[in-house]
Amino acid sequence: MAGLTGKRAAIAAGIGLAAGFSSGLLGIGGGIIMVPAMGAFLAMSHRRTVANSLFAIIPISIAGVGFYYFAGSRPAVRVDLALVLAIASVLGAPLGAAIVYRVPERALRIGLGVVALLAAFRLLLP
Amino acid sequence: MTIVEIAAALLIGIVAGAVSGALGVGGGSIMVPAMVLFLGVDQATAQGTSLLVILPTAVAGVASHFRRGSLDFSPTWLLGLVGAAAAGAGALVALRINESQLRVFFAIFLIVLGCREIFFSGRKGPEEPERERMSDL
Repeated sequence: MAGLTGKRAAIAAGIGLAAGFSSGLLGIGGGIIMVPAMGAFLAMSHRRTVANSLFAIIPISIAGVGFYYFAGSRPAVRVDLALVLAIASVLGAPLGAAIVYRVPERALRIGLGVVALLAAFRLLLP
Repeated sequence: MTIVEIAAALLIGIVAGAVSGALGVGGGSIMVPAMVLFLGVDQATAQGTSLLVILPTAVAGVASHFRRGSLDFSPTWLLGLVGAAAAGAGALVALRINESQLRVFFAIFLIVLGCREIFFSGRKGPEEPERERMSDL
């Protein structure tokens, strides 16, 4: 790997550890950790962090799905549901692009934050 | 799947895709709690299912970046390798703890995400096209 010094390798491994573990533990992609961490600690431009984050999500999510499917007492993956969700999210992406063109991003982020807090509250209820 | 389930899953997917396309966040963060709260899926299965949705999305995203010119992935081979191993470890933990414990972990993540979006999203970043925002799945 050209240019991968010991220090950068250690940093890359550390980011991978944090992002990968949170991906497996929570079922998320890990980009939420990787994008800011790559920018801050590997001195990557934003475009590169996005591309590299997506690239790293591939082995991370493959490993995650594999373990969820095979490592539990029964498969913890709904393939039928995943298919519907995947098709729908492809349809949703251009809709999101259109919305962010028309609505201030800050308002959208605050809205998302409120929804996330509400969802957390609901999950914590017995 | 029942018709109602399919309709609900379509709606969840569209919203998750829209938020991810608009803000670069979302995807799993939206799909997992939506599956748990609206489709009655258990927390671990919702998470495993989310990862199966995220995988092709990431492949498509990488393909799109490749088509726009080759990008340097040199630190990311190592990052991805370590990440895959760590993801296995994280999944093993998720599969071993019980439903309410796992929900607590996910709720903590949502609280951190929610606070970040409400309190720390005010600064202006560099202008980027919407296609770039598939960063956080």
